Amino acid sequence: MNDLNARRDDAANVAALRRGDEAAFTALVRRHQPAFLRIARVWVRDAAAAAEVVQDAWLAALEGLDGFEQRSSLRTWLYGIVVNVARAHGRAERRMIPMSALVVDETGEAGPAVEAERFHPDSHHWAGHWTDMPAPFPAPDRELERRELRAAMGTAIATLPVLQQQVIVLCDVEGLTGEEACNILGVAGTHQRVLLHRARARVRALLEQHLAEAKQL
Amino acid sequence: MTGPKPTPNPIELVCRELVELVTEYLSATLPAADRVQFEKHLLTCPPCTAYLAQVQATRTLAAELGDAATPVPSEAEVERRLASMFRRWHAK
Repeated sequence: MNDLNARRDDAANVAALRRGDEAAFTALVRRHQPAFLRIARVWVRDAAAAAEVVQDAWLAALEGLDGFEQRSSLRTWLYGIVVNVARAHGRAERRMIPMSALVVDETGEAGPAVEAERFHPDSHHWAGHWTDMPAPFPAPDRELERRELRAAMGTAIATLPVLQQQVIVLCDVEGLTGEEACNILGVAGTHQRVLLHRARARVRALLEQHLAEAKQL
Repeated sequence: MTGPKPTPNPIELVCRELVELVTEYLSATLPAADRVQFEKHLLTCPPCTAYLAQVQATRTLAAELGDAATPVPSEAEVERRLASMFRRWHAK
């Protein structure tokens, strides 16, 4: 869908909600519910808590419908509400750490994207080059292996620090642009890219490890 | 890897540096000069090409996680509850 069509679609949806069109609401719920649950799950302890967040988020969206000004897409606006409700909800489970502190924490000093041992040391004449070839991941037609790998990926994502988790879910799982993710989370573009870089590097490493272990079995 | 000692060139990227630039490269936020170096390196480096393919595959798998329908057992119940919430909201 191009931008103009998407904007018209959003405007039509908002108008339908305002006039009480229940079918339009249910269609929106069906379209966004899975993503809402995945986003909420980043901030709360289990699926039940995520479901609660999502229900509260829908109500918050309806209550705040007049605040939707089409500066962003309806989807991005809704995701932002889910993140806010989920974060506030997470407060009951653990201290709510300000976003700025999370950013400092998660974009500060960190290890390299790939373990240092994978490259020749500085003393070697191929210093900084790979010691061995990274193994390819299963091709798109290997559905069984990929299904397993997707499950491993879900587990890997859950081990990430919360903001990295949120950025990879928004950008790579839900397919938002970096700019949209920045708007939702209120973080700078440079920080968003550092978070995404670390998240992808960690998930890639865990998938590679998972494949190597599976091969040994 | 073995072979003749490479001529040291401070401008050229080594693999260890390239892997740190992959996200900027994929988001098209790498400065033009770095982008040229990045692509030049890939042309002659099968392991970095394989690494980039792994990162791309990771993104594809993540997108598949998003596409895969996650069946929620109580879906109908959730929809019913949300619909009644919607009616209450609109009646206000």
